[in-house]
Formats: sequence, structure tokens, C-alpha cells
Amino acid sequence: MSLINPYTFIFTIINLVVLYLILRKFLFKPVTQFMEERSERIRNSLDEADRKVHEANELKAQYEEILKKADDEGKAIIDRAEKYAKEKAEKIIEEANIEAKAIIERAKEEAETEKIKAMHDLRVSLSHLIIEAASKAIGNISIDDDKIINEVVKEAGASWNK
Amino acid sequence: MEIGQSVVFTIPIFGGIPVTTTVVVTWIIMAILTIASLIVTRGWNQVPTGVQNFVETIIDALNSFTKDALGEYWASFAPYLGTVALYLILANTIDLFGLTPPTKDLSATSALAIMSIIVVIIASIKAKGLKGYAKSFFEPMPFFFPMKILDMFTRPLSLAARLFGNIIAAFIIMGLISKVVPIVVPAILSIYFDLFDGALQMVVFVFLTMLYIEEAVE
Amino acid sequence: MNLLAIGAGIAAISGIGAGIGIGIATGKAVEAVSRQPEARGSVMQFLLLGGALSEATAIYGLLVAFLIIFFMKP
Repeated sequence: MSLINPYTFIFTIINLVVLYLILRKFLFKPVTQFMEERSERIRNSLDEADRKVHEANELKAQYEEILKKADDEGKAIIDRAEKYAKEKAEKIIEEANIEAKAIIERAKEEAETEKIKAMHDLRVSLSHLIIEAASKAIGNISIDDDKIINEVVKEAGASWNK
Repeated sequence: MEIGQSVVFTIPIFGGIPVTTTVVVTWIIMAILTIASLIVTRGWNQVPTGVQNFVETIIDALNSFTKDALGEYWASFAPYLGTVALYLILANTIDLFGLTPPTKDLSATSALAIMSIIVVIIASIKAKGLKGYAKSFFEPMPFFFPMKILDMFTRPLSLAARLFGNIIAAFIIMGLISKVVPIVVPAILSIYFDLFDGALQMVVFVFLTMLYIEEAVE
Repeated sequence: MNLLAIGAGIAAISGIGAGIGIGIATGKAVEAVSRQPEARGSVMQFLLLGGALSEATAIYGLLVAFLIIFFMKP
């Protein structure tokens, strides 16, 4: 009897090599590969999530800028419209003022002419009355000479005007 | 009590090849491991549950353990170390199921030790090339050459003898105890001698093999 | 046979050395871990290695005892 049985020794070596090949093919390789693939996938999806967040932030900044621009533009438009309206209103008021002044002026002028006319009429009728009265006093001489009448009226007008 | 293994049957070629219980039990272990690995790796999900979780934890531990020690060469040697670990944990604790542990036979443990040393030599040649491997016998100085040659023999000897000695010692002590007190006490002590000692010797064997590989690839 | 048994017993005495050696190694490892708890992993590695190596002497003694018992039968 010997301590080491050479057949058992060789059998064990063959058995172990076969077991190594079997386990490598069916256990270690597939499991390691599976886990590596999974961690790769997780890493990829994390990267993608990061990228998407970054993109979203960029988009947000962009939209905010656009909104701000639109806001500014709206403000500018309103300002411009206000300014235009003010100008227009001022212009209209000015025109109206001018017109009103013109109307007043014209009315004044008209009133003056009326006055002068009225005075003239008054003078004429007065002079007629005076001449009638004078002719009545003097006798029945009718003075039809316009030249004399006008002279008298002029004199009377001059004294009247004083 | 016999230190050798009994012959189960003889293959009738080349004048009869004896097949011992060691070989038969090794075949049983191989069958168990093959079937288990086929069942366990079937229908895996991306999100691990139950058995898959357990298997993933074990293989991840093995991978990170070898990655830490061997660096870039881990992928070549992790399957071998894993095979030895799975084989040894079953072989050392199979006494619980009434079978004789194969590691109780010096033939099997010396086969394991010789294979480990061959793997170490392969690792060394892979890392340094044939010339570098030959040169490593004369480093750090030529004076060390006889020591290195001696190392080549003492390493497998101590690996094989350690595994064999531990397992057979546990086996013999368990046999003696069950002769003295046949009930209850052997069951309690077998937790230490079969389970704990078997697992510890598996760890020591794999760890020492990995240490030798680590030294070879550096 | 009696002399052989005595020889085997003497060979098994080698276990004393291994016991003392592993005890010292474990004590030092505990000291190291309590001084530097973060180095637990590497200390455990060295402890395992040292334990395995110092255990080898006991295993050799056991082997010699077996050889005496089983191979030197008169």
C-alpha cells in the first residue's frame, strides 16, 4: 500500500481540468459577462440622464432668454404707442387751440365790422333826422344835395368821434 | 482505520485501472456543480432576485478579490481559483452527507497542489515571458538559485500536506469521538471539524494559490 | 508496536510549536487591528498566511505520525 495512488492522482487532475472547463463555460464566464454588461448599461443610462438634464437646462435658459426678449419688445411697442398717442393728442390740442383762436379772432373782427356798420348807419339816419329837422326849421327847402349832406355828416361824424 | 482509499471498481483496460472512492466522490461533486451551475444561471433578470442574487454576490466577491490581488491578470485566473474554491468547499464538507471526502486522500490533494503550481508557472511565463521566468530563478542574486528550486518542491508539498493533514485529522478525530460518544456530541463537533475547518482550509488553499500567482505576476 | 505508538505520539508533539506560533501571530494581529482598525483587511491576509505557514509544522508532525503508524508495521 502506498500513500499516493498514481491512478487516483491522474484521475483527479483530469477531473479538475474538466470541472474547470465546465464551470468556466457555464458559470464564471456568463455571470461575469452578464454583470459587466449590466454595469455598462447602468453607466450608459446614467450618462444619458446627465446629458438630458444638461440639455433641458440649456433649453430652459434659451426659452427664458426668448421670453425676456419678447417682454422687452412688448414694452418697447407700448412705449412707442404711448409716445405716439401723446404726440398726436398734443398736436390735436394745439390745432384746436389755433382754430379756436382764429374763430375768436374772426368773431371779434365781425363784431367790429358790425359795430362800424351800425355806427355808420346810425350816423346816416341821424344826419337825415338832423337835416329834416333843420329843413323844417328853415322852411320847406329840401336839400337834396348829397354833397352838402355828406359834408355835414362828415363834420358831425368828426365831432361825434371826439 | 485505513489511510488509503478503498477501490470501488476496476476499469478493465490496460490491465485494470482501479477507481477509488476519491474519484467516485469527485465525479459526484462534478455532477452536482455542473447541474447546479446550469440551473442557477437559467432565466436571469436584469434586476437580481433570490438565487441569482446569491450567485452574483459570490462571483462578484471572487472577481473583486482576484482583481485586487492580480491586477490586469485577474480574468485569466479567477475561473481557476473559483473552480478550486467550489470543489474544495464541497469536498471538505461532504462528510456531512456520509461520503468520504476526496481531500482525505493524499493523491487528490497532491494533484490539486501540483495543478496550482503549474498554474503559478503558467502565470509567471505569461507575465514575464520564458526568458524572464528563467531569469527569476536567479533574482535577486544568483546565490538564491538552490532556494528557488527547493521552493518549487516545498510549495506543492506543503499545500498538499496541509489540506490532507487537516481534513484527515478532522476525519480521524470525528471517528474517535463517535466511537466514544455515539450521539449528540459528534453532531455538535462536526459543525467545527467538518464545516468550519473545511471552509477554512478551502480559504487557505485558494488564498495561498492566489498569493503564489500574485508573486509570480509581479 | 508499543515503541511505534510512542514514536507517533512524540511526532505529534510538534503540534505544541504550531499552537504557540499561531497564538503569538493571532495576538499580534489583534494588537495591530486595535491600533489601526482601518488596516483590518491586510492584517487578516497576513494572519491567514502566517497561520497557514506555522500550521505546516504541526501538519508535518501529523504526517510523520501517520507514516509511523501505517507504514512501519512490523
